[in-house]
Amino acid sequence: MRRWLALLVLTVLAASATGCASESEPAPIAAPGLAGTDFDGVTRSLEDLRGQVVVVSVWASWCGPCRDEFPVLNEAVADFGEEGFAVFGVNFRDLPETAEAFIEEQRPDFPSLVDSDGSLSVSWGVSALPQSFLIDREGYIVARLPGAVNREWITGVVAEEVRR
Amino acid sequence: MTSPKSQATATPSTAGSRMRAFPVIAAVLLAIAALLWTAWAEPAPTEAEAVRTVAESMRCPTCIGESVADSTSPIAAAMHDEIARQVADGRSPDAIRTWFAERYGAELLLDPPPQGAGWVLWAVPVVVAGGVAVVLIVRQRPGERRRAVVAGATVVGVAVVISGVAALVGAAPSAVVPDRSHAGAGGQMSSAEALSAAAQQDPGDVGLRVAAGMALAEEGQLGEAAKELAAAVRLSPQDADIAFVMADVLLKDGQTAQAATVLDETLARHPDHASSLLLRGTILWQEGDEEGRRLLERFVELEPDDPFAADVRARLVEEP
Repeated sequence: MRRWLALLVLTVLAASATGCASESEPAPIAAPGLAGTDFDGVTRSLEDLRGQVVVVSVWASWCGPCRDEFPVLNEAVADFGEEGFAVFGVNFRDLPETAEAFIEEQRPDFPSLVDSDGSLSVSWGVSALPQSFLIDREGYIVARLPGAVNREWITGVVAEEVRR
Repeated sequence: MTSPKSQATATPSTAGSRMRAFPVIAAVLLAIAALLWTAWAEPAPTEAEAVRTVAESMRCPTCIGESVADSTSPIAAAMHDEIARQVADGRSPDAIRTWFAERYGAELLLDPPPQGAGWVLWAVPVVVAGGVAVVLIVRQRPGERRRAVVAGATVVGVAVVISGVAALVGAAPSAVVPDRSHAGAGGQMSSAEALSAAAQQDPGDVGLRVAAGMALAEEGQLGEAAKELAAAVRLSPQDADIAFVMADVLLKDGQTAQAATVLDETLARHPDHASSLLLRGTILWQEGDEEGRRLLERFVELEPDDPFAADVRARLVEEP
């Protein structure tokens, strides 16, 4: 009886160990494709920025916190642009006129793709707005930030990747 | 030469036991076959049903406690559109769920696949029950093993059922309590109130939102109607007909500028949407804008037999 019980316990423990091992930290994944047209009708692709550190920022004019991060992103472009850094915006499910008015007001120093049906954002796993992704020079997603980009994230996480 | 003791446990009683077990085994096999036949014989779901089923099996990443099917968040709406695209492309529900799980994590799924530690939680009751069953059978004397096998199989079966029920209960999203505050003074709901209440219960249903909006508009509640229709437009931003209905309600509510914005955006995406051409063209015509003439002429060209076409033609001729 004791031998059977021991065998049963070992079986369960082995399965638990297998399960825990499979939930270790995931490796960085290659950034999904991201291409389309911006508000000036220019075709753009994230692939064109390969070799630079890129922040992909998903925003919408109806998203209040998105207003807070545009000045921070502009500042980042000014500080790190010459070291191979860029910002690539994605405008999620917005009405064109209100999005253009938002751009006119915020004056971003980076382009934004028009994602009118949200399919680009869903392919990136966007769960809330705003949301940003840090892409390394090889095209891998190395960090994700839910919520508005702030200076601490730029001077900490982003700066470290730019200077790697 | 056999001993008297071994003769006491000879074949005839064992053979009799096997014969008595046969009907039980046959009944179980027939029941399983009937269940399988029922599953295979069910008619294939429609595309809309397939989309709904997949959407119901995924959590909204923005609205806690809601499935993608029921959430009105823009993220859920975009995910719903993606599900519809993939269903139309012929992808299987499992492949679609896997696609989303790869982007949002397995926790997005309401019934995650049995892997990792989660698999262990599902399997433990069955493994334990199986071990108990084996012990029960092995420890019995040979003449009583048949009863032990039945007992063991019963224990395993109960464990499987319990695991399955636990998994289903754990996966189900929390229920939405109906809001009864919409009932009128006499406890009777108007059709608009009933449709609004239904839309609150199923906020991801575009049709219900549109129906509620139109019913509210008929009752003169234009502001509330515009809100329902705006929600419908957010859920289905490519649908020109819904946008037109919203523009029409805004116009009736005196919000001409907003109506014009909605119509201009619709015509930017759908330049031949006849209803929008007629309404926007009429607004501009009344404002003395020549662009109105162009839009009305395009409307007449597209819909020459429309009841309004003759009136529009006459107007264009009268005022060259």
